[in-house]
Parts: sequence; structure tokens; C-alpha cells
Amino acid sequence: MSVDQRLRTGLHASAAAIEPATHRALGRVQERARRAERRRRGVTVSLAVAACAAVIAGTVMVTQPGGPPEPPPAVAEGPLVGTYVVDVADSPARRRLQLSGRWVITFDPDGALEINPPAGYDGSTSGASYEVVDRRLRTDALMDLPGCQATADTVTGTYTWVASGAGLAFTVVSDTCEARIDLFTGQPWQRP
Amino acid sequence: MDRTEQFQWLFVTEHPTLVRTLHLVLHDHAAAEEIAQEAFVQLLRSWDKVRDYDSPGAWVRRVAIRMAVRQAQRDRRRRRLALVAAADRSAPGVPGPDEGADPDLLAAIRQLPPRQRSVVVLFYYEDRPMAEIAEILGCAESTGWVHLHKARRHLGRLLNEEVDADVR
Repeated sequence: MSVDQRLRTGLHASAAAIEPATHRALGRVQERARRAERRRRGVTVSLAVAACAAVIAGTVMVTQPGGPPEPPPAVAEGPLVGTYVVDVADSPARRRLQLSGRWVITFDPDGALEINPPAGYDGSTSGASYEVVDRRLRTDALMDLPGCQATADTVTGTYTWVASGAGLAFTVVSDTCEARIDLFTGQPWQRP
Repeated sequence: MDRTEQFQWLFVTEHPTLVRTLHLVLHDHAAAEEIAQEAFVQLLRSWDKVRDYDSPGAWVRRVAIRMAVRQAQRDRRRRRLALVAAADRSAPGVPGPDEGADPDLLAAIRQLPPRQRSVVVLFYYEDRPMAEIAEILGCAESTGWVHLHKARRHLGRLLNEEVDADVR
């Protein structure tokens, strides 16, 4: 028998023995989509509440008698949705984690975090997500890297951020993932 | 059919073959199910756009196979590290009890680099033309042929089988 015949026969026979749980998987996919939608609505509501609070605060300042209103801060917390470029400078530690180079990261409105890593990074970046709770970002980005795998305690990192017209700067609140901390806090994220 | 029904229809028609293909590439059923699920979640997120494509099934297959190749590359590196650390605790190439009709064949395929493995599965199991396989893997068609020829030579040696000159 030639290797081609053996491959055709053997692979078809092996595949026939596999029973995918298709209907259960469909239910899970749809449930995940519903959760993402709920999260997206939550983010939208949070942003709307924040916007209302900002308007009310502004009105109060304007109507207060005496003294000019304080100037707005140079940077402030702001919405994350959008695309950012993160240039991670090379270093031995970063080379070991395959972090060096340009990352292009998009916060989608639906809670998905689209990550385009530099060419040297060969881990998986798909399926990452984020949510904003109490003005803190929680994300599971890079969760398949060594030391960042999902467990009950380490599935997400939590960060605060300040936004300016040029981009974002994160500060870690809690995270056990060395690579994620470096990616998020090692350098500012610039708008392209 | 409405939007949801269209997605459900695509899911039930594409999911079984996709999981089988991923299983043959990864040799891990749980990982195959997980990656298929992740690819369909991505598809559903982009469904309003992708549903108008000529072949939404090709889109989800491309996402899933590329994820599987990356995962297989990681597994391969981890296995190498484990082998360095502890001799042959989990020697690759040893067939498990549930490895189908031809365990030697599957064990030999598992020794191929992940891209070669994917080309072999897509070519011999899914019967896809090389142009399509190259599109799925994101490489040139000529590169796909190189992967296939290297894989056949390697498998021929491992299985002690003859390798015809031309597979086309």
C-alpha cells in the first residue's frame, strides 16, 4: 500500500470514530454570545452613567457662585473602545516572553479584545475579552502564556487607566501574569 | 431563514467535520471541541458581515485551523521542554488506546510539524485542493505543496511505506 492510500483510508476511519457534541456546542456558543451582548450593554450603560455624571458635575461647577471653575485635568479616565498601538521595546526578559515589537490592540464595543501581536509572538491571542467594572478594566488577555493560565484566581488582571487624546496609560491593580503587566503598563498605548 | 437560523444551519453542517479535522491535527478531542467553539464564537461576533461572504464555512475553518496550528506549535515546544526535563516520560509517537483504526499512522502524523500535519489532514481527510489549503493556512500554494511532499516523505520513512513520485 502506498503512503497516500494509507493516509486516505486511515484518516477517514479515524475521523468516523469521532463523535462531536454539536448540539451542546451550539448551545454554548450562543450562550457565550448572549453573555458578550449583556456585557456590551453593561459597558454602554456604564459609559452613559459616567457621561451623565460628568454633565451634572460640570453644571454644578458652572452654577456655583464665586471663583472660576477649576480647569479640567490634562488626562482623565475615558472610554476604552478603539484601536491602540503598543511598541514594546526589546529586552532579554521580553524576548523570552516574545513580547518585543509592535502590538495592535482593539477594544471592541462587545467586550472582545482583538490582539494582533508582533511577528515573533507565536502564542494564541484569540478569544481575549475585557470588561469594565467600577472604572476598572478586567481582562484575560494573554491567558495562555506561561504563568498566565486561567485558574480560579488568575484568570484576569485588573487595571485602572487614564486616557488622553494620544492614548492610554494603565496601572496594575492586581495581576499575576508578568507578561500582561508588562504589556499593559510597560509603555503607553498610542492611538494609531 | 433569519439571521439566527442561518447561523444555526451553518453550525450544524460545519461543526462535525471541523471538530474531526481539528482532532486529527491536535490528537486531543477536548482541545478540538474547544477551538471549534472559539472559532464559532468569533464567527457569531462577525456574523452580520461574514454571512454575506461566498463561504462563511471557509471563514470559520480558516480561523479554527490557524488556532489549532498555533496550539500544536505550543504543545510541541512544551513537549520538547518536558522531554529535556524528564527523559521520555510521555514519549511522543506512542499511540493511545483510542487512536482509531490505524494507530501507527496517527502516531506518525503526530510527529510531523503542525503545519505539515494540517496540510496532510486537509488534503487526505477533507479532500481539499491545495489552493484552498494554502488559503486556509495563509501561505502560498507552492509552500503548501512543499509541506505535503515533506510530510509524505517523512511518513513513508516512519511507516515503511512506498511514496509515489507525484501525489497530484
